[in-house]
Amino acid sequence: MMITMNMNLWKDLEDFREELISYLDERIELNNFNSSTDDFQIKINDLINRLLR
Amino acid sequence: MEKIKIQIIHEGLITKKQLSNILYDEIGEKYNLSEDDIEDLFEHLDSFILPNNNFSTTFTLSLPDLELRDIEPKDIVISFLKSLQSDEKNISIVKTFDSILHKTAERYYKEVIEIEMELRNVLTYILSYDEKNIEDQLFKNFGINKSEKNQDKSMRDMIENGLFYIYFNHYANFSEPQKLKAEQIVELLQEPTIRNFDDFKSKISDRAIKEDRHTDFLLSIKTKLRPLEDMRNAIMHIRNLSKNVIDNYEIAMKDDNGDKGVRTLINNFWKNERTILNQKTWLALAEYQIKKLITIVDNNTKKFYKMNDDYYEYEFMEGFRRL
Repeated sequence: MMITMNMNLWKDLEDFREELISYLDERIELNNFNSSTDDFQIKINDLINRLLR
Repeated sequence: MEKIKIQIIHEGLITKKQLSNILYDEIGEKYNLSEDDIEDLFEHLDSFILPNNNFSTTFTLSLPDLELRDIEPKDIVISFLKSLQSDEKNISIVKTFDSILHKTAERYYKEVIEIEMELRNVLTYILSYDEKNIEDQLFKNFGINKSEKNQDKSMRDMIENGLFYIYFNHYANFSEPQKLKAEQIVELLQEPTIRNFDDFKSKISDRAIKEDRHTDFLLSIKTKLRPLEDMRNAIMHIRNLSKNVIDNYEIAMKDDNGDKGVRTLINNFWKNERTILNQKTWLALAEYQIKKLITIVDNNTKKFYKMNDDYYEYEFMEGFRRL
């Protein structure tokens, strides 16, 4: 997965939230862990909101 | 075919005939072997006169594959050597090579070193989790003696740590630090960092492993390490693997209803860590990654999210090359 936006392009958070999550999901490999559960997706969103809001 | 090498310190002469007569009495008729057949099993290697006028004789016994019932090859060998021992002329008898023991030891060797390495993996993690330096003072705190001295530099060069220099069965000692002696307490109380009783208490509790689940793991393996150490020592020193050593080792290794074997305990340790820490770890790694990758730019009217060029390029270098 590659964040497809041009590196010089400025974007709103909502535009690339999904891409960002996919990118993180691909990079972070933890043994026997599923990050796609609804419960955990809420936590990922909370993290992104905390860091980027 | 099993090969046994035996060294005898004795008086007078030992002949192949004498040896084969003893073995013939043990196995000849039972396994339909003639006296000549049995004599051919022995090979005389050396005899030397010793300064005290006794002799040292070495010979080999090549034991053929027999159809055995209710007895093992090693028992035949021991029984033969005991008969030899009962002759007063034979002052001492030592079995110096034993292919039967060699094969059995090899079988357990692989398993034992695998467990030892896996335990080091767990211990290294537990001590790192607690920010404890794996050094001599730490070993002293837990009453652990090192098996040999080590040089810090050569250890680092070999990508090892101090756990490579302690006895196997001491791994479980990390479950509880040694009680402080009075003079150590007095010394501790005089440290400038101790300003009140809470500081003192936290200094004392810092000596122990902090996480209960880690201590629980160490306690769970405590009784199982001695049998493993006994097996390890017997193998490393190529000593007889007694039934007792083997039985106790098997008990320590296998799962028996509620009582888990060492390997299962280690696997469960990691499973438990994953259950407890995976979410937190994922989120912490994500935070680290986001901070490296993205900068928020706030121009008072609108917030923008800018990719940090260098890191973006580093992360997606391959993609750029393709473009």
